[in-house]
Amino acid sequence: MRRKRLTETAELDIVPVMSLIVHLIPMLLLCVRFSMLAQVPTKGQILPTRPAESLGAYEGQQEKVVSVRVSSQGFVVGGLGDAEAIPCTATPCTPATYDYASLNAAMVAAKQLHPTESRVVIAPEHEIPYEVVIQVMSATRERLGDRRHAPLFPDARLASDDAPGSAPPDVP
Amino acid sequence: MSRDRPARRRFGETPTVMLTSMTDMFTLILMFLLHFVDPSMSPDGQVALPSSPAVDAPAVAITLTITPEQVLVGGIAVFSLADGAHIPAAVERDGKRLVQLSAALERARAAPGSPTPAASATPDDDAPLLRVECDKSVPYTVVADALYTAGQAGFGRFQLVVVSSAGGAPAEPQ
Repeated sequence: MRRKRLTETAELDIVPVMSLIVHLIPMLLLCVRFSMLAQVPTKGQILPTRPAESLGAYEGQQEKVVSVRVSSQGFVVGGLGDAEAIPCTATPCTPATYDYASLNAAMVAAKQLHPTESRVVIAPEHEIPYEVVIQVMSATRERLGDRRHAPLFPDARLASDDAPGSAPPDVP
Repeated sequence: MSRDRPARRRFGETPTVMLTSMTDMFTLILMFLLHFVDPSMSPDGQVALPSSPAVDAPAVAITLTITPEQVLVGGIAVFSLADGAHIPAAVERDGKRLVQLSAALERARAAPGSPTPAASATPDDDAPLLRVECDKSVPYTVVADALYTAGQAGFGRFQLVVVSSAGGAPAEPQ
């Protein structure tokens, strides 16, 4: 075998590497999602909701507990003294016609009454889509449209009518 | 005239292609994609997540996925939903607790190498974390039953995964 001359350069065969990269890139492009995921935190307990034992207890709940009941007609907000109903902007209610802006405004008013409170109880009816629950949590967490993300009630607790437990009734 | 014409290639001589610049480009694209793609953070394609202005990035944790067709823990189907994304009557219950789901969640927690939450400042934040990826069309009753079951299985915190509708840079994972 003849020796290579000193001036002769050895060529690197990069074709297999290129082939590998060309296969990897489409695979990764298939996996990638060009949307940013985020998370809404909540505590790992589903609170029970029960009717108040008396009219006095009911009025006490209305004043003390910031709550949002989500029904097929709209929202009922507690924590403002009297329960405030916020109907949908159009009937029948769909995830797009719930009035989240008014709910957010009610939460801003509730925050002025309860400046040190961070908890809110959210009690949706059984058939309410999950999308509405998330939107309600967003409307209660912070001032909508505020780039400073001013917090309102970031500690959201979910409640359900048929949840067992010995917790006191939280939602009117 | 003849001087401007490119020289003809000799017969039998193979043309060489300069691949170096293309290799550089592909390597950069590959690095970019490997940096941004995290398969553990990508939701299942069957789930249409709701959107929210939230910006906190979700952490890696045991994942409970609820699609309109089925409920999965860590990507493994636990039971199917029926009749418009409702829990069938055949699914075993203990009160509001879903027995199969509870067992699957407890198995996932006990599995070696299961994601554990990072150390945090308050004891409340040390509670086991469950990542919940739920389709936006699923009724609340299914979500409430699943979350109640997860709470009974020892998960003290939930992170409800959403598609962020807020602009700006994402926050660090909790």
